[in-house]
Amino acid sequence: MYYEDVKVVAGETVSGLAVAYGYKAADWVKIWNDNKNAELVKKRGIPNKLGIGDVVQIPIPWKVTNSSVAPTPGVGGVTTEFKRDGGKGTRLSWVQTVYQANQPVTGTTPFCVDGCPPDDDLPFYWTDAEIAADPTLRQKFTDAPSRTAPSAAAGTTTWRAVTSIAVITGKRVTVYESHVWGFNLTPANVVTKVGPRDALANEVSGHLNLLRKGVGTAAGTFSTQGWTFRPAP
Amino acid sequence: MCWVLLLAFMSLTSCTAPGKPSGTSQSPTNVAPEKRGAAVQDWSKFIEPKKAAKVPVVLRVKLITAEGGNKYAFDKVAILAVLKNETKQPFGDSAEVGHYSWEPGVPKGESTIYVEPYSESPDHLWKLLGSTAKEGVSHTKPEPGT
Repeated sequence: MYYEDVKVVAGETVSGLAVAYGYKAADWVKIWNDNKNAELVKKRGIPNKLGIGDVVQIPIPWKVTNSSVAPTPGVGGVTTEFKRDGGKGTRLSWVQTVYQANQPVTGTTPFCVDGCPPDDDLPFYWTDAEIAADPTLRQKFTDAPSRTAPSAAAGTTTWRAVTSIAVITGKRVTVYESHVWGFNLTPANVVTKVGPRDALANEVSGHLNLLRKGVGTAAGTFSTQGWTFRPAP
Repeated sequence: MCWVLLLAFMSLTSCTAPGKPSGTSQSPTNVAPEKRGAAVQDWSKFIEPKKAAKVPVVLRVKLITAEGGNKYAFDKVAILAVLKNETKQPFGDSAEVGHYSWEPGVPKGESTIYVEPYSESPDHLWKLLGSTAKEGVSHTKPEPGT
């Protein structure tokens, strides 16, 4: 668990923030009564007197509760699923960076932010349209990358991904619960699954760098567009 | 009499086969897919109007290769006919069409595919309606033996 520091803007309430970060509205008490907010409570007294610029510390306890990676039958790749606990939360999503090794998708680079090629101008895995159509996507992640068997000269394809829960406050994205997974595909078309396992510190660091340098459909990198990415403090 | 026979012979040799207008003997790369399609048969039998109404482009295609991918996998298809094109984008002899990697893509053999823009980018790729063959494919004709 970590605490997301959220600067209050006009119209925001503790119960509204609770829902945005995956709680039930009635759970606003858990946030308000958290020791990290003791000073704010002392200053404001009651939650509906929250002022613009106040900083609310929101505990983010959600975890990946289910994760699986398995070879996809008849295809040179794997199918993976992650699910997390907590509510949908309009400020919760997923990010994924991938290493495509010797078989990058046409028009993309070996390292990229998935959707790769980009399917919108945001750094998240699911687009706004996809989430609007199915809001439960905020709670689950699905992917099934695959490739054709590489040539003997190209050697084994080592496809890897780092997938994280993304907590979004303005244009700041905090990644946590990062998992590494993927597959190896030999020239003989033999697939070996990799992971899922917890990402190491250096892997999270690389993941964050790729997110900063990543591109969507708009001009420039996500960094130059004003997005910032950080590990959970 | 001789002239009459000669004219009749010339008439026969210049005639095209029924249902195969002149031009179809050209190399396929020299013929616009729209014309190629119209030349082959009545493609209206190969389209589902409800699906077609949801997309700007409908193609009759034959799968060349399923190339895989990341979130989206891409299928390379040979375009047999352009059944609908409300865009300004011309279609050549082949195209790459995306679908969610965990959903079925263009099946082997011939099929009609209903495609929508992959993104809002001006030079966007194409993807199956709903990003899955469950929604974006109809009138499949498997290859013999598949």
